[in-house]
Amino acid sequence: MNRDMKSKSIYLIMAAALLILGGCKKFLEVQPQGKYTQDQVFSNEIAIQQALNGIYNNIASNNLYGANLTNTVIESLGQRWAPNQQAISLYQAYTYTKTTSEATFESIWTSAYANILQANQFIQQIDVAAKNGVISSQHATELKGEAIGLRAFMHFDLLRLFGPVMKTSPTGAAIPYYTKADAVTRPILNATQAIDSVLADLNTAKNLLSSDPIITKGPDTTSHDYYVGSRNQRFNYYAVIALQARAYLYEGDNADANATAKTALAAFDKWFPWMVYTDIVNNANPDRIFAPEMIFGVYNPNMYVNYLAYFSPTLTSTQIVTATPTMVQTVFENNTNDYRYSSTWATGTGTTAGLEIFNKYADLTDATRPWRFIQPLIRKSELYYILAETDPSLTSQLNYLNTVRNNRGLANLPTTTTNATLITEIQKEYWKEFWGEGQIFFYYKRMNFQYVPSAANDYNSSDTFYEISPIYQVPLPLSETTPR
Amino acid sequence: MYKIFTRILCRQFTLALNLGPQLKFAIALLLFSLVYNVPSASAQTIKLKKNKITYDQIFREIKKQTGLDVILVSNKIQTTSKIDVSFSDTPLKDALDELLRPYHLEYIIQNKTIVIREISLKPVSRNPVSPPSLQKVYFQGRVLDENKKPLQGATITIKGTNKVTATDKNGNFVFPDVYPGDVFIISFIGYNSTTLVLQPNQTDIEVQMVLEQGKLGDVVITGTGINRKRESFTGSAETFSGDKLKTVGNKNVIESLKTLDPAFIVVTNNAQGSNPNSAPTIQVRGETGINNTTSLNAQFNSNPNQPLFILDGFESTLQAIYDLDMNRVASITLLKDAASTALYGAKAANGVVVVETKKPLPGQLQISYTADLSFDVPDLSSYNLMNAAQKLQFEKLSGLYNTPLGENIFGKPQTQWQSDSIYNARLAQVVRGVNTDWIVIPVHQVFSERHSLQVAGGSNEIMIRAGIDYRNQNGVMKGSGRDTWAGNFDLTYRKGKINVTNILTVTNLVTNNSPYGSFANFAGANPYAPKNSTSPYLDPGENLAANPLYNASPYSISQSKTFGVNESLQAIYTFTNDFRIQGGTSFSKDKTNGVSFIPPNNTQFIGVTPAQQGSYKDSIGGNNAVSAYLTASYAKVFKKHQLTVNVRSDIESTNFDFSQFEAVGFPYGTDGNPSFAYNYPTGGRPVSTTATTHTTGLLGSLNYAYDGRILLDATYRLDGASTFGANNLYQPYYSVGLGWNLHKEAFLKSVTWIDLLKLRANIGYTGNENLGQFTSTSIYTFLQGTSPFGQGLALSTLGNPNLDWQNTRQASYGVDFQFMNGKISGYVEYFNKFTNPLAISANGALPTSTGANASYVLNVGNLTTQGADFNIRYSPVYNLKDRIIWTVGLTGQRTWSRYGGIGSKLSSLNTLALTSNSLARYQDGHSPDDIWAVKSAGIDPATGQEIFIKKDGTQTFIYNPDDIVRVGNTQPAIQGVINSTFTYKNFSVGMYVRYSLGGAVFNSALYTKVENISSSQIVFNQDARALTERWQAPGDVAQFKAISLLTTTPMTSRFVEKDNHFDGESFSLSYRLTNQWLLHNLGIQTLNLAAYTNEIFRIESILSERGIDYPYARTVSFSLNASF
Repeated sequence: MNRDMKSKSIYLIMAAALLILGGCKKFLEVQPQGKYTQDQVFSNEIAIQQALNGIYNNIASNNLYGANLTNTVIESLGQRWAPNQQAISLYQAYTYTKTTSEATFESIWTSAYANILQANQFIQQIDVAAKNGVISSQHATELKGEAIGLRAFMHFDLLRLFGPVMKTSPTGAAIPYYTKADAVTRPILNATQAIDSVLADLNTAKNLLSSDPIITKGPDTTSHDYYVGSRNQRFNYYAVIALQARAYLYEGDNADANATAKTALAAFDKWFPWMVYTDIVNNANPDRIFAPEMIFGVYNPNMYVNYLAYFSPTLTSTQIVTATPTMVQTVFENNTNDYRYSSTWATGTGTTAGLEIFNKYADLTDATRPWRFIQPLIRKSELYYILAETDPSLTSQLNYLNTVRNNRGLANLPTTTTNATLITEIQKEYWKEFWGEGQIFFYYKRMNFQYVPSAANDYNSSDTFYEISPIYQVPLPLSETTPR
Repeated sequence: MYKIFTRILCRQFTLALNLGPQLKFAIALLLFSLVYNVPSASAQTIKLKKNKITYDQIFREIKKQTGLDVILVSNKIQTTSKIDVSFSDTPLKDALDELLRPYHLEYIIQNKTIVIREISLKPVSRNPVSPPSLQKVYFQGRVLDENKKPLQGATITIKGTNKVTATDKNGNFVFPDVYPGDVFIISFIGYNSTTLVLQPNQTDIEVQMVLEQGKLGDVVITGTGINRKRESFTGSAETFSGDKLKTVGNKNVIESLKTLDPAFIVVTNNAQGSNPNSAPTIQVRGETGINNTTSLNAQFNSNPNQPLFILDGFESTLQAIYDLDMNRVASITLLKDAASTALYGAKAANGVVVVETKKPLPGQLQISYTADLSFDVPDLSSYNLMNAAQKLQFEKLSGLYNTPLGENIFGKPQTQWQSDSIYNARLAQVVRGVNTDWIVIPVHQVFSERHSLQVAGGSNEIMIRAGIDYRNQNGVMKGSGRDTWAGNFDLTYRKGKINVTNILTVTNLVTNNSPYGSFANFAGANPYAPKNSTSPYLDPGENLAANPLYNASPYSISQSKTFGVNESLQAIYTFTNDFRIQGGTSFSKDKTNGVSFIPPNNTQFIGVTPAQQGSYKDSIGGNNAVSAYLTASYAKVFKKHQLTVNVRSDIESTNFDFSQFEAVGFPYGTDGNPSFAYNYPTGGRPVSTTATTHTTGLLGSLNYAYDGRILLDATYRLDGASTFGANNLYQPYYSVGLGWNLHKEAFLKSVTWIDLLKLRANIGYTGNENLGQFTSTSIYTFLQGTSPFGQGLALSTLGNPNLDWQNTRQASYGVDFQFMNGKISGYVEYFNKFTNPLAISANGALPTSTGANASYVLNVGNLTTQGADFNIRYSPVYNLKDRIIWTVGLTGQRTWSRYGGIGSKLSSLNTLALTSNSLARYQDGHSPDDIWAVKSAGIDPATGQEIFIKKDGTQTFIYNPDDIVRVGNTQPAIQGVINSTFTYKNFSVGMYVRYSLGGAVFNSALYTKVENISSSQIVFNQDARALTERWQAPGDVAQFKAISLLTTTPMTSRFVEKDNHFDGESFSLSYRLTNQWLLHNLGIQTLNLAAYTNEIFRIESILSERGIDYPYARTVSFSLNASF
């Protein structure tokens, strides 16, 4: 073999080797199958929508508002359910250190912060997508506003659960607040700092959502157009305002709570009309969640699976989550005129004979009703309660409360009602209105009641009515505290 | 005489320096004639009287006494064979005649050298007294390769001079001035060196070189097509032939390799014992990653410390090697250090195991049949359980039949008479003689077999090797087994410059797990319960302990079936003798179908609605891999410089997919056919995973040797992988090594007992790709279900763009030696591996509020692993001629590791370790193998309570986790194998005993079955020591706390014991039948018979239960190999 041929062949090999490696860059960029990379997601508007859907879906998971933070754990802390179940009695006794209860609160904590991480990731990437022209800046602004609102919403409930009682320890250690998706540990803020962060985020969200279609067109529950339809199932402009009012009230800033609620009261009345009686009673498909009044709720695909698992009359008496007839009667003051009483509660038969069945989240006959599967999280009545609690004028206070009462089949309160009685009546409304919606424990915590009625005692003994002393602050889970 | 002569010579030389040129010439002439006349001097005599002396030693003695070198140009005499000699001042001539007569050899003495050669070579005057012409000769020659093509670069040296030359591209060489009688040595890498003596009147010569073959140990096979000559290699690599592996055992190559190489450690799996379906965990030179972090294992589908397996040049799997027919194995090379593994770059941090199968051979069709038969006996000797009477007494003493414990356990209000009646019923059973030995029920003695048939042969151009093997390996748990069959068809075509090899293998594997389930259930069954298979509970009425025999239903299924095809094609094109190209491509595909069925009447379904009773799972998993490589090799010798350069590029694509579905609700008595199922599980959905990985690599490797003395190795590899992340597609790896062949240095040449003494050192960087698919980019997955707004995506992995790939820097130092003609040989090595940074899952390392989950990976700290290993052999008897050899050997290994740079970043993992009762801690300066617990001072004889030792040394009854200190380390101070092999003619005896000294172990049998028997565990049988060695009354000096104390015992140093043990890993006896008549009449060429025992004994310093879920087995096996 002569020298020329040899060197030729060397070049040939070199060229071949280089070709193999030159083509490599593409070869090495393997897209994971069955998964999406961040770049793929934020280079296409449908995928961006799906990424935001994911945050809503996660919120509706059983670890968060699908169950734990609406009708199971949090309501057990609020002494709502009869202690026939082992698991429930742990929460009712505020036993936070048993393995099972630790695991539950850890799952709430972990799921919420995982979802906050996803929201933060979304908030960071949506700007990039808008800059790249993947999505119009109008749409991007709207979706970003929702994501920031959701971030505030989740942080606020973590604060209400794991933070101290605001009334007594506004500077007590509460929770960390995350606004970046970088897995860098943030410090644990005190309660006031945390609520300030919530309010700051809500302010941003409010600005971003200032041209939310809901302001001009209402929630439009018949449509599921991504940007204008069913806005009450998205963290909309009014949800931001309602959450602001809720947060101000929780902080103890009654004036701001009152002012905020008032700014949009007309709009609330316009777009979220009071329930029509006939839609509840004597209807094959009763709207037990009072959907028209709902400012924000999430689609919970597990709602009826959960119903069958926790509340169904087909369960045995040791499986069912229920309240005793005495409790229900006490709460509704034996007044069957109250729509909420008649629509929500039924008498058990068979295995659950003698028990009250909590029907609020039972399935409908007609599967096409728009409120099917919807878990209400913020409703209009709460704004009236906020006004009733914070308004400087007693007459106005009574008016706000009576508006709700009238729309629930109840008569006006006597005009002689004193301020103290009013407060009690507001509390009664929280009892009646938010059963299975997770607000009562936070109400107690906000008011810092030293004693609350005990489910173990049926609510029925008037002289020892307030007989259990809640432990309001759930300790931070070990998975949070040990790596710090 | 010799001394006088040299003295004269020196003096004359000194004089010559001061004389004129003419005189010098005269003296030189005189000198030359003097030298030349030396052999004829009648005074040359030999004085030597010794029995069993090798020819080599005789020749050295001759040199010593006469000053004449001896060169043997014949293979009729083996220099290592031994004879008895007796010369007392015998003339050299007579002595040589006597030595050579039986071999029909002659000798000539020329130029201070005795050349012994075959008489038939050329008739030469027996009396070379009159010197031939002293005239210089112009000598030329030509060196050819095995194909009679010119060999360029072969070196020709003239013995005893510094004259050296090399062949040109036509294979020609020229020596213008040589003398007849000069001895030429012709050598070239990869060929046997040839010696020839220049005859008078000879002026040219043609030499054909013979390929160096069969000397396995001389070449380091790296599996990349880049093979190195061992003599000039600076890395650490051990090669074992298939036959050698077979002398240890006939189970699988991994078992044999662990016995032969001290650095190859199979980690004890106490849970799975001798389960044939449990893949071994292998470590080469310690760990490079954090293995036991919560949930890391689940994420990384392979063990991060597992070595890379290469089979016939392409990447393979642990399972393929585990199931490989040992009879097909030609050799296994273990590459341990950076210099040898850097060729594999990103995959090499844990070492590389290179397996080569036997290649097709030319010649007549040869048939080889091997039968491996083995007999396994369950080894239950480590179990020390209570008998019926003891168990009942233990229950009584611990208060089971008294309130409140009885109430707790029996779960209902219990009056004393009710407790008593339960006790009395049980006592009646015991008195009646019920004493069921549950642990013997699920096990049996079992026979396994493997038959392997190989056919090889062909012409010089086309050769084939085809084979088939069948194996039925049964486990000692009833119903468990592993059946394999495999076929291979190998074809080699070579003609001229082309050599093509094709290897096609097909494998089929069926594994069955025992329907008896976990052995622990049987060890826990109460002996006072009579054996029955019809009642779901052992204690009818109480229903506390499930009956393991009842659950061992004949209908249950736990089976997997795998079918795989592997095809590889490799070709070599030799352009010239110093340049060649090798390329190859491989394709492999396998499919595994797993089925598990739990019948509806299994106790786990009690209380479940009938429509959900029984469970059937069906899974299908598959692997596809396609890879190709191209290697160009260039080798050149310039005088004393030897240079080899290789460039290689490779590319690989692998794809893994897995899917599984489940069905529930089966009628009683059905056989697990899914068509009988009522339902899918509630909320269940199919599982599916797909993963594709692409990698490429570009490799350059350089090997340089100066005069065979100074060696240099360098490797650079650029790896590209889709797993590295989008911003970081390529990673470089490299190594540099230096070696020094001391035995080739002039100052050691005269030390005749040193055959080989090599120092080597190398350093390099390699990576660990086993650590899963980290992504620097965030990954979204679709959530289950939809909302009216469409589907939802969940952020499943947060990307870490700052993640550093886990790399390991490894430095190795070694010395290889061989003394006294191979009587003593071995190596000693030291290594230092530094893995920095470690990659660790965020799970537990970051607060959960960051939202980062287990799939977020971050860098924390580093891990240093140091170690040393050695392998030394000594042969007190070494008679190759008569094949009588006795060799004793010792291998040993020690590694120690320590974390660094962690600081307090993983303190949370330490806290988690505390809550999950783990003994491991992440602390700088401490080893991953350290055992952490509170020190114990033993049991207080007065109260039966444990006394703890606080950090300050004071004693207390109160357990405080703050007092946790390091109480031991699981790594043995030294472990290895003591071996001895004895060969007498055709008999061979081998003995391999593993020793492990100085390690510590947390004896979990003591912790869970002697103490810590909680109220829920009391219904199960326990270690007998729970009754006999626990404190009962004040004054008892006991190792274990009061029998009545059912409270949890924290982990303390009381349960940490010294773990010294000896294992009889292998004893073997083999015989090679050479009875000519028998062989001839049966048509058998060779017949080998071997018998082995494996794991036949274990002597240990602790009494612990071994084989928790699957017992260990002792094995006796036989092997028969016949070739026709």
